[in-house]
Amino acid sequence: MFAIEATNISHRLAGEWILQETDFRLTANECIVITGANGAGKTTLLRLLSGSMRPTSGNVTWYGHSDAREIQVRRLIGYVAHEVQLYPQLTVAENLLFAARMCGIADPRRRALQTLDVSGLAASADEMVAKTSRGIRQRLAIARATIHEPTIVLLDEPFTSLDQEGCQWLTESIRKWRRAGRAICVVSHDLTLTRRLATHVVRVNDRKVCDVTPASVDNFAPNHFVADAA
Amino acid sequence: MDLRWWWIVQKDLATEYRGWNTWPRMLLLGLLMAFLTSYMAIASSGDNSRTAAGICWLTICLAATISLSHSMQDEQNPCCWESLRLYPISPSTIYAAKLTVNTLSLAALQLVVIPCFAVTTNVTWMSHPLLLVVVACLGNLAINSVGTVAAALTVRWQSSHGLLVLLTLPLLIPVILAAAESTRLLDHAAAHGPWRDWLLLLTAFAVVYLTAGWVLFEYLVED
Repeated sequence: MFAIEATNISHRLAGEWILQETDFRLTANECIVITGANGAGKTTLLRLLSGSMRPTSGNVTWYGHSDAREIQVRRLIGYVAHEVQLYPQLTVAENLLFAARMCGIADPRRRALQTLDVSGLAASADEMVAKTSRGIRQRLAIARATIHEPTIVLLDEPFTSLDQEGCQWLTESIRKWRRAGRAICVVSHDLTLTRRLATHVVRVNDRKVCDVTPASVDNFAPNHFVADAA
Repeated sequence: MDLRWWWIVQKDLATEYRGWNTWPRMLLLGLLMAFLTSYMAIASSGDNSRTAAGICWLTICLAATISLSHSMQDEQNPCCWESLRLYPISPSTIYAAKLTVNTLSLAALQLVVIPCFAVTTNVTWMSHPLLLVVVACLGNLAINSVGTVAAALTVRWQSSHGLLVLLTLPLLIPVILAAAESTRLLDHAAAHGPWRDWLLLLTAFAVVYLTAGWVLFEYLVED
């Protein structure tokens, strides 16, 4: 069964088609990197895959469930958006604790402390998010979205603002998640990281999706659709 | 309903306590209106109770739009609204939490503003404290039940506060009238008569708006 299966999805925003008749499939143990020009519709595609938006037409399923509003579907997904989605008036630790509580984790305080340690945020735990650097906020955003150990991890430009150490931590985390059998989808422009992480590279081009392997990352074949490749 | 309702309330209260963005503005509006009404009351020689009750409840309504707007904008501005909706919680939990925070904010304002209006305009509402609390609670609930849904609906728009006022005030006219009359007629409170009728109307609106908000919130806040 596919972790995510999008069939013939199209999305229209303010009278303009952002994405048209696109197919997308993600399975467990897989790391798909979505790339493409600015404004090509990568973020829209990821938001549709996260269930935060419904496609204008077409269908998305998460392990066979088609309704993103279902509680069990939301438990499956960890989504890091382009914006950090953190509360600036709360501390780093409070943001994590809030996320753990919202996810219904049995011992939220303990999980928040563990996550602080694992993500290298322990030193900033008591700092207000408003006063932290963009890099710390990005780490926190990733830690917040994955605190409930989701089986599907969706990351929109996750390497933005991360320093070398942060990039290494995230790269290792993505590898670890893959080894644990999770399905990962990353939107990124960084071709070096793409080569290191991706099992498949998907390019969004002309409001549609084309499928390319990491080896041919520099030679994207335009208008090569998933449906055709399958 | 689970405990997560309370964690959202706690988070919103902590944010408000650290930022002091909402309550000072609401309080300033309330006190300013009480002062202006008292000035009008001194200038006119007739019965002030109707004017005082009407302006008092209109002030409460306008102040409520400040807290309603802020409670949602605090989610929207750091783009947390999307993440809050994606947590494995039901929309009705979010609605209940936001409703609780807004009700508490308005109750804090009512505690100051209603006695202020009563004292400055020299009316006798305060001699019936229990009945006044009942009217204040019902009015508060009705205003925030519909206001919370409207705030969630308008938060994504650029001029969300203006839209919120435009959307809620027409819906709240019957609530303002019923609450104002229930407050004004407190001296004549009885099991039968006009006070009871106005109170029943206020109760009906509170129940209808609360039920409608609970049911519709999920559908209205979808992208």
